[in-house]
Amino acid sequence: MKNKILFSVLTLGLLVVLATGCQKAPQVQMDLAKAAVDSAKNAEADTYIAAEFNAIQDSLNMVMTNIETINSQSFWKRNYKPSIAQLDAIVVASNAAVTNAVAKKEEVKAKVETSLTEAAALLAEDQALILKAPKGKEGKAALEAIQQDLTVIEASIAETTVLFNEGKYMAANDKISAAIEKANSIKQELNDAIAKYKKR
Amino acid sequence: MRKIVFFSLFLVVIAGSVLYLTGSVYAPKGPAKEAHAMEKSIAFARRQGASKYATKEFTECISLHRKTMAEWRAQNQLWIIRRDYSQLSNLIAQTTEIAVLAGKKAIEKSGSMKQFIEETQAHLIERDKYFTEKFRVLPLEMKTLKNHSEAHLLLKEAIEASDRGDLNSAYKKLIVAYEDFSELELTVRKKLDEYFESYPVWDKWYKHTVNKSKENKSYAIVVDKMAHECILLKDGNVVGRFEAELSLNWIGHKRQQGDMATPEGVYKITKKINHRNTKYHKALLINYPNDNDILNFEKSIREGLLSSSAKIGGLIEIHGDGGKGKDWTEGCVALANSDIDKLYAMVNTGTPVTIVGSLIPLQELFN
Repeated sequence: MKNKILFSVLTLGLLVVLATGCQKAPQVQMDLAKAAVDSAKNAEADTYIAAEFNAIQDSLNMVMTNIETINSQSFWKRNYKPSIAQLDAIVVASNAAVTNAVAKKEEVKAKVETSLTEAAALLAEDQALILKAPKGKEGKAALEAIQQDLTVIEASIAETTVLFNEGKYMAANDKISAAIEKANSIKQELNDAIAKYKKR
Repeated sequence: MRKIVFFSLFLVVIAGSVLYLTGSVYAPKGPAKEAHAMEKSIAFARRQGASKYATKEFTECISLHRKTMAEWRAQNQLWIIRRDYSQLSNLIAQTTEIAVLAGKKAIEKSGSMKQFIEETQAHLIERDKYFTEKFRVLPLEMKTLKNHSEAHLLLKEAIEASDRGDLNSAYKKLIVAYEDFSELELTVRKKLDEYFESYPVWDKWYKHTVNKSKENKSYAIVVDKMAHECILLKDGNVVGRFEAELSLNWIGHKRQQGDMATPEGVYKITKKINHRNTKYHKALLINYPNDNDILNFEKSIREGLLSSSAKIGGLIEIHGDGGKGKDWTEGCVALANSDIDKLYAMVNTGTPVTIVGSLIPLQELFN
């Protein structure tokens, strides 16, 4: 009877030890973390908050390496708890990156929208000023040159709209900023010419 | 009997466990240190922008990294004593090597791109300024002015892209802007080169005018179109310089009526017109067309360069009502009223008027 009890306890103990040795990597958490990083990438976090996204991607890679390192070890050494905590942190950081990327993208988008409106208004203002500008022999050639500049600005606004519709907000912002600067300098030039003409 | 069965089973479990534990102890270990070094190298390359500036190497690195992790997972799924990490170690070494290379290349490329962008931006800003100040004041074709505006906008876009750290975009835009500015300058310089072919003739006319003024101890007027200057000579010396405004299409000699060009040649004042008889304050009429102009005009018609119905034009004056800050006449030379007053008081009918394209050679004007 004594042997029977001893045998049962030892067998059970060994089965427990072996079962623990077969402990699996935290697949669910790994999949969740990978999916969260993919979501951040889909939200263009790599474009709008590149540094933040790169740090998350590097953390994920490091955790995956840690998990494989653990998987390589003997069963009694395996401890996935720190990795699970890191994976959970990656999910949190990725979700925050999605929010930040969307916010940043919206910010740039709103800026381009405002700039497009501003550029169109400036263009209209410049065209109105051309009508008021001195049109004598001395003004004709200069006004023709300004009209050429305005067609270039108009084309630039059209190209910005295309980039905007394609969701390329950063490139659109570069283009419209340059167009606004040029439109403003033409406005200044026309106002100066009109003021000079009025003084005479 | 039951005891024997239980005991045998017990022995099998014990033997199995001993075998497993021994295997675990002597089984090959995963290359953890090397793998961590690999991850650090990839992170470093990523931070240096290797995906943008060493795209080929970084893509290869990422692909190798995937292979490496797949190999590791595959090995880890095997029974512990059957694992072989030699292939994995090779993959890790290769991935680390390419990651280090990608990182280094990204640093080098982004560094050289930054330097190129800074230098090219500064260079093109200067060229843009030079073009605006020196060339846009010339009577250029509308197409050339439009091309300049486009190049100017492209340069500004490149500066915007560079300011937000998008070196690739800034680089590409600057390359195009550089080519555009070069083409623009080439167009203008070609026009100027053709115009300045007459420079030796202008120089001869000028020297002749100076000598005559010296010999005759008299006044003479020289108009330098490029300098937009009307120069008054007395006894061969410069005694007055007045800012002059010219016609809308002043580069080149007047060939016919309505071409909006200011003539070039050796002329003289044929009539002094006071304020009662001109709308331009005061005027000095010159003898355009002179004999040489008439000969050239007739030759051009004979050669079919001008229409047979073309007229040579006339009524070219040095007059007042200038000071507008731009070229605007139909062929005359306009001075500010205070300047024409001074000139009018000093010169007489018969005073020589020499109109030249430039008194300074092209190389000295635009370098």
